[in-house]
Amino acid sequence: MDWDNPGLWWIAAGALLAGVELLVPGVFLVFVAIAAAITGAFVLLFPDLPLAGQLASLAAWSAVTIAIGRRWYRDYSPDSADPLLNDVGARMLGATVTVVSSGADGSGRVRVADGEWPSRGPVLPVGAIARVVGVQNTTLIIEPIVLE
Amino acid sequence: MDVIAGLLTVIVALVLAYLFASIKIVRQGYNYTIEHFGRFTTVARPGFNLYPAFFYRVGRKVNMMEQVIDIPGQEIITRDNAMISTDGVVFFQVLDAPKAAYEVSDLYMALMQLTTTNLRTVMGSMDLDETLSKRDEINARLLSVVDQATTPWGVKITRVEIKDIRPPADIVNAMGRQMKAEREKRANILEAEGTRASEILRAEGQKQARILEAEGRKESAFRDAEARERAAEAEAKATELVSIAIEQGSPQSLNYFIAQKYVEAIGKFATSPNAKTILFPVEATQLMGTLGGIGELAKEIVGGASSPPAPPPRPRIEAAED
Repeated sequence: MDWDNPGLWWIAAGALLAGVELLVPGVFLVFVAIAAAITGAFVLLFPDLPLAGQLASLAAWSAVTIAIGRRWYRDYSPDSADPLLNDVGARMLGATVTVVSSGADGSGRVRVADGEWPSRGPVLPVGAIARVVGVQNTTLIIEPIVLE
Repeated sequence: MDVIAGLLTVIVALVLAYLFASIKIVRQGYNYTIEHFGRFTTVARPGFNLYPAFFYRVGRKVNMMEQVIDIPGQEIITRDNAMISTDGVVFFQVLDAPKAAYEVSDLYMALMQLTTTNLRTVMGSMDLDETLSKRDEINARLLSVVDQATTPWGVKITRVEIKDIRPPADIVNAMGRQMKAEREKRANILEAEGTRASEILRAEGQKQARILEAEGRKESAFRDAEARERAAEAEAKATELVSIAIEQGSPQSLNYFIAQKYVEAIGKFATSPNAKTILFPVEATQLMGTLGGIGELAKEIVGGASSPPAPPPRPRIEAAED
C-alpha cells in the first residue's frame, strides 16, 4: 500500500472533512466525511473502480448517511429542557390577566405583565381577572376566574 | 508501513480533535446552552460537561452573575416643562439562561432601551420638585415596570437607581433663591409672631394694671366718701350735742370753748419749731377780754347777774418769721 492508492486519499479526505466540521460546526460536512470514508474503503476493496464510480459512490453514500441521520435524529432526539422556548402563546396558557377593555361581542384587551394583548371570551367588566385558556395567533382566549 | 502510520496519525488527530470539541468545561458564573442540531436541548452548568461533537454544540454562553448596565445620560422634560439631564444604572441577573439566550435578541440593548424609555415615562409624569425629592419612588416605579417586562426573558431586575439628576443652572439658581426666601419668610413670620405675642402680653399687663389702679381709686373714693359721711355724721352729732348742751346750759359756755381754742392756738405758736421769735402785735387786751369773759362767766354762775355776754373775740394773729 502506498499513497498512490486513491482509497487512502478518500479516507484522508473524509478525516479532513470531519476535522473541518469540528472547527466550523455546520452539521453537514460530517455526512460527506462519512461518505468519503466509506468510498475510500470501497476503493481499497475494489481498486478497479473508476473515478466516476468513486464520485457516484460519494454522492450515493452522502444521501444514505443523511437519510439515516435524519431518521436517527427523529427517533433519538433528546428532549429539550425548555420546550416552550420562543412560544409565547403556549407560555401564556393558564396565566392570570386583567381585563383592560371589553367589547359587546366578547373581544377586548387584557393586561399581561406590562403589555396588552387582544382577547376573546365572555363579556367581562373592566378590571376583572381572567385566565388564559387558549391562544389564537395573537389573540388570547380567556375565561373568567370563578372564586369559590 | 508509512501509509498505515500516516492514516493512524490522521485518525488519532481526529479523535483528539473530536474529544477536544466534545468536552465543555463551563466556568463558574456562566451557563452554556447546548444545542442539538441547532435546537436548544439543555443547559451546561459550571463544571465538566461532555456533549458529543457533530451532534451537540454550545449555543450561547450566558453570564449568570449580577450585572450592571449604565443608562446613558439623557435630557428629560418634566411635567412642568423643566429640562433635566439624568442618568442611572440597572442591576440585573439572569435566572433562566435559555430564556435570556433565545427569548430576546440582544438582552443588553433591550434592557437599556427599556429602562431608558421607562425612565422618561416615569420622570416625565412628575414635576421637577417631585423628581428631585422622590428618587425612591422613581426607582420603585421603574423597577416594577422594567422587572415585569423582563420576566419573559428570564431576567430579574434587582434594582434600578437614578445616579444623578441635574436641573439646568438657572433653575438651580432659582431653587436656591426660593429656598432662601422660604426660610426668610419663616423667620419673618416667627419674628412677627413673637412681636405680636409680646405686644399682646404687654397691653394685657397694662390693661390689668389700669383696671387694678381704677379699682383702687374707686375703692378709695368709696372709702373717702364714707369717711366724709362718717365725719359729717360725727360733726352733726357733735354740733347737735353742743347745741343741746348750749340749749340746756348758757350760751356763754360757748365763749369758754372758743377762748380755750384761742389760747391753745397761741400756745401752738410758741411751740412751733420754725418760730424763734413770736411777735404779738395781737391785742393782748383781747386775751384779757377773754379772761374777762371767763370772769363774767364765773360771776354769772356765782352771782346770777345777767349781763350781756361779751362778743366772741376776733383774734387777729400775725405771726412773722425772721
